Amino acid sequence: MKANKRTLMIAGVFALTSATLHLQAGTMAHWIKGSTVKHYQKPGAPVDITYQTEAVDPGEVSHIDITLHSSVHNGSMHVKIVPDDQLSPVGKFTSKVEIPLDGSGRYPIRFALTSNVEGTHHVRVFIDMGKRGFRAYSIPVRFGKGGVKLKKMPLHKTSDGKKVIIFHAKETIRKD
Amino acid sequence: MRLRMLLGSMSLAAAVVLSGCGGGGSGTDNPGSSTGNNNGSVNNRGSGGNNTGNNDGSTDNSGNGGNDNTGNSQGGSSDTNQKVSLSGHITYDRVPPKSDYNGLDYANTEQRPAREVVVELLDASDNVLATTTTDEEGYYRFEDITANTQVKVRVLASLHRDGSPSWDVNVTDNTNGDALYVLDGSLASVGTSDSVRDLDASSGWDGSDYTGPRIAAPFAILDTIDSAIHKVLTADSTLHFPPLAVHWSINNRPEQGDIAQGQIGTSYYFNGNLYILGDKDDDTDEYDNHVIAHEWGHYYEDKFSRSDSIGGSHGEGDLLDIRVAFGEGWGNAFSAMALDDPHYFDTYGDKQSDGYLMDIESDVSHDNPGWFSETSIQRILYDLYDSHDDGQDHLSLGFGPIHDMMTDAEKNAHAFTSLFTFITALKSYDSTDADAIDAIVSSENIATINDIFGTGRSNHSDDYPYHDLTVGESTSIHTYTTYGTYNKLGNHQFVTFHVDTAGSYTVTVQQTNGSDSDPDFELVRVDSYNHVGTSDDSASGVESKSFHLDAGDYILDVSDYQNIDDAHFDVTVDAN
Repeated sequence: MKANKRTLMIAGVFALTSATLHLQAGTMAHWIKGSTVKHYQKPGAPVDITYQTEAVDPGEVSHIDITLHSSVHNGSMHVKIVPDDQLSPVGKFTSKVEIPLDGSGRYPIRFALTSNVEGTHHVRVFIDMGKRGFRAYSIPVRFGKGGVKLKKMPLHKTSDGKKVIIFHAKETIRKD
Repeated sequence: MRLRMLLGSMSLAAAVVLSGCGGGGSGTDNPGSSTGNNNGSVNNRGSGGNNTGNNDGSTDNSGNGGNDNTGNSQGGSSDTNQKVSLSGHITYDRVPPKSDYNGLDYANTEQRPAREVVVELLDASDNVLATTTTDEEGYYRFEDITANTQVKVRVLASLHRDGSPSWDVNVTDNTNGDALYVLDGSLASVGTSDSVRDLDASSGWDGSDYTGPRIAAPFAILDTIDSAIHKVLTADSTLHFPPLAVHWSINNRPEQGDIAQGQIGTSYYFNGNLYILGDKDDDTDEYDNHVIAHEWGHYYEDKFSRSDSIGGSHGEGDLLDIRVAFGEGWGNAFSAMALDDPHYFDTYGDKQSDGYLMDIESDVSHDNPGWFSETSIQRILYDLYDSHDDGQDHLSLGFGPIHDMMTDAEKNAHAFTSLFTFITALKSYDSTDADAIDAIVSSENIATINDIFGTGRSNHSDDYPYHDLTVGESTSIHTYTTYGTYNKLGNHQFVTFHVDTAGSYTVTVQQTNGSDSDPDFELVRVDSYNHVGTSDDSASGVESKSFHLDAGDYILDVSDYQNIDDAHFDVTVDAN
């Protein structure tokens, strides 16, 4: 029995897959892969994304392979690529591109980035298909160890033990 | 008509006897105007910092001596028999879309009431003295508080109502232990006279970026859900809404992966949980209320109706599996009904400065109208609902009949949920509207719908997905990828058959134009809507499995895992 082919509409938790380790002289690299194919998406442009990004050490070059998938066969899609501030393009890089929808169904985009900041950064990909809508995707790119730095507020507990995140209000107090 | 919330839940404490009352503006309590002497009023406006305040004698809430923050009233009256009330207004920053819906309009942020949210009164040790809820204008009230008690007001990102109707909705941070968001006022003495504490949840926007805590977001989400709940209550005022956990975080990104890391992929509903995007400069959804209402519409389908949608990506112009088309058309239409606004918008991008608009009502010139189009279905459903006559639409059913259909006929349909099942049921509900319903449907290039299988298609008749099968005989079908893969028209074919006698039967799907496909199928008994089984082996060109089947009606959902362009199959169901 092959793995479950009836992909869940929504996965509660699923992990990104990695390719096998690829050894080069003095470096260790692997690929972070992801895909939205068969996953539920909120209303928007009829386009999916698959990608693989090369996890490398800080200062090295990470190759990014993105493929946009769409069954639309007329018009075009406007794609904007926005790397995080910690990422710098290497070589030819176009932040905006218009891709004609020629019916091939698959539209690859490749570029390279580097970063001296250790951790997982992101490349934002925005696809505008006009009246068909848009899609926004966030592609992870890892340099060295370390995952995403999540922004978290301190946790507190209520008197009955529930976890809460406390925001402080703008408050006005006055006599009635 | 909105159900008016007059009473929140009540709890008794040793020092305080309280009643929760959200009736702001009634009686002598009118926080909107200052009727008392404002000398000595305390203004604790902060910007997300610690607002526990500093009442060390420099301000005077009561007209007596100053109060410290340890609960002692220095110089003030300490008569434990004296009772005072505390009331106020809870608001949040609502950032609207720009007039062209191309992004969020921070410059026109407005304060909106936090409706029907849970409010707690806490003592200096954070013990809950009393609980209430705000009314539909965002006002709350606590009565009979012992004078000079040190208290603070806490607003939970929670909608909660017991009784009939009832609901329980909480907004938590899925990247931080699923902790509940709360909004705290400062700890201060209630003094010896009635007082007012207004709390506002700010957006966190400083004019050019989010630099402060985005406190308003959970309350903006709740406000949209409150609207959705009340829309449904117009059809059934005693409904019990099952608990809904809403997960929003500033870390929630459009990246597939670990929900606890914010990798939620998209805003979506699944199994009692709503996940909402929140990473700035990506695709935030807390102010995109149609997005939230759309996903809440899937919660509604899950808890009160039935959806056979297989999900996947979808968009305007797609020729979709009929189940997906209805599910997504429903979500879009419901968002417009819930908000009484057909302008579905979704903002995104750097500084949230881009956006997309879909006019549920007026988007008449869309690609590929038909029974497979979510855009067609959303227009039909909204036209059935709304009070605006346009084109072929001369019906104004309101939500009641739609709710009746969704919770009965659609829920128990003996075919896959689709426009066919819904319209058939609606026309049976009130046959006097049948012609008007047909007219609305026909405006989307859809021939009259007369049964739950939608027989008699003229538009894209070759793509009609249902096929009849007699046990012991075979029927020919084909799956294809003309319009895309996974959830598009043609990817799945539905074979209906009837079993007269309970027993063991073998279902076989055999490719007849080669052997490069990998057919799979799911078997559903539709007269009682049970999922009987799945067969998805890796064998090329054939799929076969035996089942014990009771007498009844069944549907086989056949697809090709290999997604070859055009796979032809013979389908048989034989008694063993």
